Amino acid sequence: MLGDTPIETQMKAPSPLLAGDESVREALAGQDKPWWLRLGRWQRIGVIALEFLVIAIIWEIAIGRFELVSPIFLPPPTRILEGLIELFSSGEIFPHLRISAYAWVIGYAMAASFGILGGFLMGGSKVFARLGGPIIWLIYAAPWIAFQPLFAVWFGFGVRPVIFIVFTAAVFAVLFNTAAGVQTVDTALLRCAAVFGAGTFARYRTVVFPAVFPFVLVGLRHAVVIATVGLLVGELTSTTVGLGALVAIKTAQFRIGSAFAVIVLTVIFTTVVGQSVAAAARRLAPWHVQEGGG
Amino acid sequence: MTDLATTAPTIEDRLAAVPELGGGGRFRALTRNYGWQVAVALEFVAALLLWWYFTTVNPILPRSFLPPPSQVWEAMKGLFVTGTIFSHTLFTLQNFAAGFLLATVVSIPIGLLMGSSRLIELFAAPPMWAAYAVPRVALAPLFVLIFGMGAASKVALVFLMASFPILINTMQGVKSVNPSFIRVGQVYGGGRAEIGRTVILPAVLPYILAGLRIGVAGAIAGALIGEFIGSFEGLGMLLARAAFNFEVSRALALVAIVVLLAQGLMSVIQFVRKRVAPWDESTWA
Repeated sequence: MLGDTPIETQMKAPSPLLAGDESVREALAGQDKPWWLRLGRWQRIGVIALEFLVIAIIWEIAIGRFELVSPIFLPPPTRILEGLIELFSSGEIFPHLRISAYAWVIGYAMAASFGILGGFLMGGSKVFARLGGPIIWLIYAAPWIAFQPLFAVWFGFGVRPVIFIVFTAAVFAVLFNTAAGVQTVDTALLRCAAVFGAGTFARYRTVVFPAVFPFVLVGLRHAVVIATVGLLVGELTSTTVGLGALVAIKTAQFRIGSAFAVIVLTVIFTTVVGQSVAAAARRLAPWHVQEGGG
Repeated sequence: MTDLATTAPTIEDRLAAVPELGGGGRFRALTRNYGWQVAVALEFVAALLLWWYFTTVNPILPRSFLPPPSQVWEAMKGLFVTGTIFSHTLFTLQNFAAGFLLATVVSIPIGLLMGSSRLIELFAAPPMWAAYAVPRVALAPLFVLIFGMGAASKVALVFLMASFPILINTMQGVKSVNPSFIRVGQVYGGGRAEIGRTVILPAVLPYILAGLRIGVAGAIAGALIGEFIGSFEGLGMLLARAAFNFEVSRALALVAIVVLLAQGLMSVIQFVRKRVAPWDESTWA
């Protein structure tokens, strides 16, 4: 009676024989796949590392040796490394680093606390969502870079406008992710909690917080990158201390190697901090599937 | 995420919708929504009144911080009456258009290639992500140094800021195409070009448009930052100069103009998206 069974059921039959068949077929299919589809994880990493090495060597030779592009504009890797060493050995970078760290931490902490609080209010409270939503939306829709000169006037030229631009840049990533998390809490679970007599506080503690927590961490991770961009935007003009200012100063002195070195430092910083937040998310909220990197 | 933030039901809404918990019917929800719209309108009027009150009648806010609405309005009128705004807006928009078009023309084909070939992706994607990790705004001083104070440096910055979102979204779009749809196309005897047109393009288009929208935001940022750093023309230059001279009302008027302009450009993309890819119901990334 095999002919009577629908074709789908036949294919889904959980027979070990069929499963074995499948693996054999896969192994055979692997044979005619080109090599780049057959790489394992470490082989892949090896190929990519090799590629970066080749790029660096070509870059070094093309610009450092043959000067295809003026090394003033695009310094070779060794020049960037020299710039990095110089910045640290002369101690020139430390005051800039200190001010930037200060502005970043304060701005980010403000963005995180306001973002989480605002996100919960926007996702949980009707009044806040309906009345506060349009205003938050209006501010978010504006390109935040446009506020930079305004902040400089309002908060004086120096570190304070930088803090506020970091805050403005980063707060929405946290806020909207938190709000989205609150809004996607499973209604069935909320009802279930209500049926079991949970009050507002108990409902938030047992249902809403565990569901929202991973979203908050995703928001915090995005905010790391945006806050750093905000920091640089804030410091590029209207201040003389800070990493962004250091980039501008070094560029103006035609010491592009050092300017690139500072940029490399910010990349390392965002990568390390961003990955730490992602790792924290995996550890603290393992029930949530992380969204793809990038 | 974005649509969710303003229209999605809050926890209160959802609990209210459960009759056992004392929720109302559909009709009541509808009338309540109109009530909220009125409330939002009133809220904005109230904000304007408070601004006016605390800057004129009871001026506890220093004028150097927040000038009264009338002054901002005067500054706005001044910009238009003297005609200064037009040439500067034109300069900014020209740079925006040139850089953005360039980014579109370059990024979409590269994104399509990287999305469709695993070999190209293997080698091109890692350097692309590495370049993507670099905060591109920090290159603004360098671009001004290389390309000068004129339009060229701004076009290059706009290109740099707009190209990555377009490229990445196009690539992700191609990779998201359901392979069984392609196989169906092959079964029905479709050639490469035909499958590209009937299967891949409709699937990728919403992604490209989403990338273009993010690209617009980046492009505006690029145009502005280039003009902040070094320029003789443009809205960003006017804004930076007004701020530097502590002309707060002029700066506020300029911020309003920039925001409206950015919104206008965004809605153009939204309009195109509704016309070109109406089947895309998803919210914007």
